[in-house]
Amino acid sequence: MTRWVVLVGVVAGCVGYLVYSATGTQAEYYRTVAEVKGNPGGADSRVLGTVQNDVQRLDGGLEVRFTAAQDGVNLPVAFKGQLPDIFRPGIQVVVEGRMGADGVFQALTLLAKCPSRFTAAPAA
Amino acid sequence: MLLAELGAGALLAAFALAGFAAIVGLWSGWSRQPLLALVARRAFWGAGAGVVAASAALEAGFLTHDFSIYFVAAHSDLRMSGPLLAAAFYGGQEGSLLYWTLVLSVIGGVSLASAGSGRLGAYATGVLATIEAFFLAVLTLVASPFATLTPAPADGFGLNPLLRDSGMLVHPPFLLAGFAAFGVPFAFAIAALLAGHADAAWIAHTRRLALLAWGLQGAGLTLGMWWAYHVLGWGGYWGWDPVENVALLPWLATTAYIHSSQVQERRGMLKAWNFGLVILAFCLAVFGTFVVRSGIIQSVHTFAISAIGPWFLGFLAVAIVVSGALLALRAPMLRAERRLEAPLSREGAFLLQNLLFIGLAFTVLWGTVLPLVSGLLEGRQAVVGPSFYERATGPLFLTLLALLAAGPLLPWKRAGTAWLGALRVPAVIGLAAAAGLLAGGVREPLPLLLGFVIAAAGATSVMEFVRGGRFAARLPGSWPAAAVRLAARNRRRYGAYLAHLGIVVVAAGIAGSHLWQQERVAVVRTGQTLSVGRYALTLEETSLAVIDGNPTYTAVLGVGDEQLVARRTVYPTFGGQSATQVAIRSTALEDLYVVLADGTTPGQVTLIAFVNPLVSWIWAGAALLILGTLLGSWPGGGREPARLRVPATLPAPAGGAE
Repeated sequence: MTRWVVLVGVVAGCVGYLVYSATGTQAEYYRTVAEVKGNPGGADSRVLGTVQNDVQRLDGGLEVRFTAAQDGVNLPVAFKGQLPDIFRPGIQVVVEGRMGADGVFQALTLLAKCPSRFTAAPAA
Repeated sequence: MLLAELGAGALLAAFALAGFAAIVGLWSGWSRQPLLALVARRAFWGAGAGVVAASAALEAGFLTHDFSIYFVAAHSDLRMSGPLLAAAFYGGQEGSLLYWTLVLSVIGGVSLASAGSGRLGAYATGVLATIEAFFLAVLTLVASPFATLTPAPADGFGLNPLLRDSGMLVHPPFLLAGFAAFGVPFAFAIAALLAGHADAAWIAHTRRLALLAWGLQGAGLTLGMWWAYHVLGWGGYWGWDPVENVALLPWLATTAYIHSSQVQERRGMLKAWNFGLVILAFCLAVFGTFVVRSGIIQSVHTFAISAIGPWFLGFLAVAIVVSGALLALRAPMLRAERRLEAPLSREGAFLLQNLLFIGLAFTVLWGTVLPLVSGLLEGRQAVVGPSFYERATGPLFLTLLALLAAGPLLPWKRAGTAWLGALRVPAVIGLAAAAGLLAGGVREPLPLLLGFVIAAAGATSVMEFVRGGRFAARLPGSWPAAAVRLAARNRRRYGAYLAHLGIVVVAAGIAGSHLWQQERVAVVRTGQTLSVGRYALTLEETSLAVIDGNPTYTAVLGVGDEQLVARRTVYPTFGGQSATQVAIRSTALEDLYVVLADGTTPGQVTLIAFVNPLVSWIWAGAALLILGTLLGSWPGGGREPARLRVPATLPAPAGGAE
C-alpha cells in the first residue's frame, strides 16, 4: 500500500511542479485596451479588440497596421507576419505584444477569432 | 415545412420513449424484473428509431434545399451539392447535437443487444436512456434543428469557406462520434456499480466499447490535425487551443483506462481506479462540449454561443455527483484482490503510465481553464499559450516514451535481473540512433535524447513482432500462414504492439517537425527565387481569375523540374474573408509547404514557405495506431489474452502467469 502511495506522491509532485513552474513563467494576463494605453512599456500582454475599418497593408502584406477597439477605446496596432485567413475589419483579434513608445502596440502574435456560428455575415 | 414537422415530431416521440426507457430500465434493475428490462431496451431502440428518422428528415431538408428549416438555410445554399451538402448536417450546433444523439443511440443500441436482461443490462439501458433523454430534451426545448423560417428564403447563407473542404467530410463526424461514444462505457460502468458487479465481466464488456470511443476520438483528432495542416496554411497541425485541448482530454483518460483495465483483468487490482477513469472520460467529454458551446473560454474556434451551456453544466454536475456517490457507496466491493508485489513489474509500469496520462490530462485541463480560475481568484484573466504546454507536458511525454521502451518488457508480478538483459536491444538501438544524429551534426541534448528514447521504444515494439515471427516459424504449415494465424489468435497482443509502433512513429513525426521546422517569408516578383532549406522556389507566373464569383489568385512555382501551385480565394459573400489553398510537396522525410499570403497582387506575391520535416510520419503513425486498434478490438480470436501461448516476453518467475 505504501508503495502505491509513494509512487502516486512522486508523480503528482513532479506534475505539480511542472505545472506550477510553467504557469509562473508562461502565463500572460489579458489587459483591456485602456490599461495598455495607460501603461506604455511594461510586460508583454494580450489584448482583445475589434479590427476597425482602417486596415493598412505595407510591404506586400507582410506588415499590417490597424486600429483595435474595445469598449470605445482605440488602440493602434502594428503587426509583422502572416495574417490569419479570416483577418478583416469587423472581426475580433487577440494581439500579444507590448506598447511601443510611439503609442503603437507592437504585436508579436495575432490570433483571429473564427467568425462566430461558422455562417455567413448577413448580406451588407 | 413538412420535413420540419416530421423531424420535430420524431424528436419529440424519441424524447418521450427515452424518458420512458430510462425510468423502466432503472426500475427493472432495482426491482430485479427481467421482463421490464426487455421493455426498457425496446423503448430505447424505439427512441433510437425516432432519432434516425429525425436525422433523415434533416438530411432530406439539406438535399432538397428546404430553406423553410432555419438550420438548412443557415448552413447551406443552392450552389452546394454532393457530399459537402450532405455534410452541412453537422456544420452547425443543432445538427452536431443531433448527430451526437444519433451516434449514442446507435452504438448504445448495439451494445445493449448483447448485454442481456440481467440487472447489468437493465441498469445500462436506464443510464444510456437517461443520457439520450438529456440530449433529446436539449434538442426539443433549447436548440431545435427544426426551427422554421417563414417565409422561407429563396437561398441559404451557405457554408463558411473554411469548412468547404474534404476535411469537413471526415473530421467532425469522427470527433463528434468519439465524444458521443464515451457515453456508452460510462453507462456500463455506472450500471456495474448500481448492480454491484465489479467483476471482470464489466471490464470485458466495457473495454471494447472504450476502445471504440478511443479509436473514433483518435481518428477524429488526427483528421483534425490533418485538416488544420492542409487547409489553414499556418504550417502546423496542433495549436493547443482550448477547443483542441478539450477533445484531447477524454482520449488521454481513456488511454490510461485501456492499460489499467488489464491490471484488473490479470491481477484483480485497481478496480475503483478503473471505474473512476471511465467516469472521468465521460465527464471530460461533457465538460468539453460545455466549454466549446458556452463560449466561456476564449478560443480561436468560436462556435455558436447559445443557451445550451448551462444545460451541459447542470448535466455535468449531476454526472459527477451521482458517479462519485456511487463509487463511495460501492467502495467495499472495489477492494483489490491482491497487493502490488514489486514496483518494478508490469503492473507497476501500467500504474506509472496511468499516473503520467492523468498528469497530462490535468496539465492540459489546467492550461485550458486557467483563464476561468484566474478570473475568479484574481479578478483578471491569465492565459497560457503553446510554450506553457511544451514546458509542462514535454517531460511527461518524454517519460512516457521511455516507459514505452521499457514497460512492455517487464513481466507481471516482479521483474528479476532477466529484465535488464532484455533491455539491451532497445538500449543499443536507441544509442545507435543517437549516434546517428550526432554524426549527422545534431548537438543539442533534447533532439539526441528524443532520438534515443524514440528509437528504443520502436525497437521494443518491433521486437515483439520479431519474436512472434520466430515462434510462427516453428509452427506447422507455411510461415506466412502461421504468422497470420498467430496474429489473428492473439489480436489484443499484436494489435497493442502495432498501436505502440504507431505512437512511436507519430512521436518521431512530431519531434522532427517541431525541432527542425524552417520558415521563410518574402515578397517575390515573377522570375525571382526564394530559397528555403535545400529548395529554391522560382515564381513562374501569377494569375487572377474569378471562379464561382470568388476572385482567386494563383501562383505557379518551379522547384527543380516540378511545379507547385498555391492559391488564395477571396469570398465577397463572407465579408471578404479569404481562404488559402496550400501547395504541399510531400516526401517521406520532409514536406515543402508554400502558402500564398494575403496582400497578393498580380506579378507580385507574398510567399510563406516552410520545410516541415517528418510530418508524413504523423499520418502514417496514426494509420498504424488505428490499424492496431481495429486488430486489437476485432471480435473473436483468442477469447482471453494469449490463448495460443507465445513465450512471454520473459520467462515469468516461479508460479508464472496462469
